[in-house]
Formats: sequence, C-alpha cells, structure tokens
Amino acid sequence: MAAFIIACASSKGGCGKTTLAVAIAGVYASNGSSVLLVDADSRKRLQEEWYNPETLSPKIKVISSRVEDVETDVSKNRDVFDVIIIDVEGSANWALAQALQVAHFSLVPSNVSFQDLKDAQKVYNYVESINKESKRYRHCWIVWNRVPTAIRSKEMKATMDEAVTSGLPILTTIHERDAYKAMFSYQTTLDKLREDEAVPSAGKAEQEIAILISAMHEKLEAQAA
Amino acid sequence: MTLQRASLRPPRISDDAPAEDGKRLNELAKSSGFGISGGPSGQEADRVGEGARSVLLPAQPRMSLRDRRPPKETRSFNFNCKMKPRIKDKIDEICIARGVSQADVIEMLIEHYDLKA
Ligand SMILES: Nc1ncnc2c1ncn2[C@@H]1O[C@H](COP(=O)(O)OP(=O)(O)OP(=O)(O)O)[C@@H](O)[C@H]1O
Ligand SMILES: [Mg+2]
Repeated sequence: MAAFIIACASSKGGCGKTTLAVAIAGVYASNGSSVLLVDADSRKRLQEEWYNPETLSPKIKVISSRVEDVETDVSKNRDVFDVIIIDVEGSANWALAQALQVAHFSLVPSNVSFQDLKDAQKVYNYVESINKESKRYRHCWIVWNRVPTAIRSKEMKATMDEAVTSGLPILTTIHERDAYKAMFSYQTTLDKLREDEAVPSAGKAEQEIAILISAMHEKLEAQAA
Repeated sequence: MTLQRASLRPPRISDDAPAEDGKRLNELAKSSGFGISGGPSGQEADRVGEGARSVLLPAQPRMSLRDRRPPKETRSFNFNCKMKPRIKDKIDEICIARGVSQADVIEMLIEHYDLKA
C-alpha cells in the first residue's frame, strides 16, 4: 500500500495553498496518520518558517523539493508515509505540473473572486487534459477559501453560483479564521491550538478541515466504485 | 457534530497503479506552458486545456454589476444581541455542517417561522 498523495495547487499566488496544506497535514496527523509535506516553493517557507520539530507532532515531516525533483522526491517517500501533501508556489511552473501529475487528488484553493477563479479553472482544465491522456484518473476540486463566517455579499453569492453553473467542481468551503494564521505564528497545527485554547476559532477550523478530508475520501470512493 | 475518526484515515492506495506514459504527460505539461525555470504567476498557463466552460461565458447572461450589488440596507447588518454560548456554538455548527453563512441560517429560520405562521 502506498501514500495518498494530495497537491495543494494553483498558479495563483496567495490563494491559501500553504495554509490548506498545513491544516490538512495537522488533522491527518492528529488522527494517527504519518504525513510528509513536500515544500516545492523555492522560498522554502514551510521548511524555514513553519516546521519546528519541537512544537509539531512527530507524525509530520517536511522536506524541501527543487522544482525539477518534485516527482522523484514524492516517489521516494510513497511507501514511507500514509499521506503526502505537496505545496507549490503560485506560478505556472514545472513543480505545479509535476504535482498535478503525481497527485491522486488536487485541491485548488480559490478566494471567491473572478480573478482567483480563472486561475483555478486553468488548473482544473489542465488536470482534465491529463485525465484524457492517462489511464489513471486524477481528482481536481476547487475549495472556496477565506469565506467570511457572518455574511456573504451578493457579489460573493453570484460568483459562487456562477462557478457551479460553469461546471467547476467545488469541494467545500473554508472560512476566514484567525486559527489558520495562528498555525504559522505558533508553528503548530489546529488540534494543538484548540487544546491550548490559543485561538477561539481553532476547533471550528479543525472541523471544517475534517469535513474537507471526508469529502475527499468520499469522492475517491465514488470514483472507484 | 463529531466526525468518525475512521473517516479521517487516508484511503489505502494500491501500488499497482496503471503504468503511465510519463514522457507523454511531460510533453503535455511543456506544450501547456509549464516552464522548468518557473515564471511569474499565471499568464503562461492560459493556453491550457479545454475542460470546463469558461467562467467568463456562463450559461445565463451575466448579471450587470449594478444588479449584482445588493440594495444598500442589506449589504451588512449587525445582530445587536447577546447570545448564550450554547446557541452561538449551535449556529456555528450548522454553518460549518451546511457550508452556509450565519445570515443564511437566519433566513432559513425565518422561512420556517413564516411557514408555521
Ligand atoms: N482561511 C483563511 N483564513 C485566514 N487567513 C487565511 C486563510 N487562508 C489563507 N490566509 C492568509 O492568506 C495569506 C496567503 O495564504 P497562503 O500563504 O496559504 O497562500 P499561498 O497560496 O500558499 O501563497 P503563495 O502562492 O505565496 O505560496 C496568508 O497571510 C494566510 O495567513
Ligand atoms: Mg504558499
């Protein structure tokens, strides 16, 4: 049996790829899985700014991967971890292409705006074109990110509706929460933030990430059936 | 709502995935504008694929910006009240489970209330 490989992928910068990667890694690890985060961002921010073996679960490891080595680095670790999560930088570079190619499941975070959605759509279309060429099916789903908890404007609702009308697959919604930022200021994961009562929104963030993970598993099962 | 721990265990992926024509997929990546050297965000990937319909060409005509803009008095509101933590938590739980906003929950409540009235 080999690792479940997830890519947090978009050619859009700042849409929440790293945030999502870290949040998912934390929820998998706190539920008993071993997780490798592959930092394919040349700025090595995961490795240098977030990863801290003293504050993080030993179930989580991070490696930095050069743009041209993403596929090799993932392959080397397939049999070692339960889950591998690839975090790419926000550009249409080779690492993004490799991540989309090697992953079983690509998650494309998108803020609810047309600019973000257009980038998300390019990624989705590209994965569809890989699927046409390949015998193996790859999932690619968009995740709404930074949605306000209290109220959604009409503009926001219209954009969300139009994404659905355009046939873009939307997996789940992630809200704007301090807990997601605090993972980086405390170099930790959502479960620890919740336990330490460091940030009030940590438990809710953890719950919505758990829902996202279950949704991924459901999509995989539905496709396999 | 508590999620089953079991559903948070990753799926078991079998090793015998179909052999892939890696070369062909790499060619596809190159012809789709993904560069080895990397590059600034986005533009190059414009040529990519033709999967979903463009978000710029929705099935229905786009609403004009004026139509999209909500009437002023509904743009934002504040519920000026104190809630029991239990109620606040319940509302949050519903929002997360259904992926709706707090305003949506209130709208649902009102619909329910109107039906009963
Ligand atoms: N759900 C969220 N709630 C609150 N803040 C968020 C959320 N998602 C992302 N952010 C914030 O948005 C900013 C960008 O997020 P992040 O670094 O994860 O994006 P990225 O896609 O990895 O960016 P890059 O392309 O530069 O790698 C960060 O400041 C992060 O804290
Ligand atoms: Mg990042």
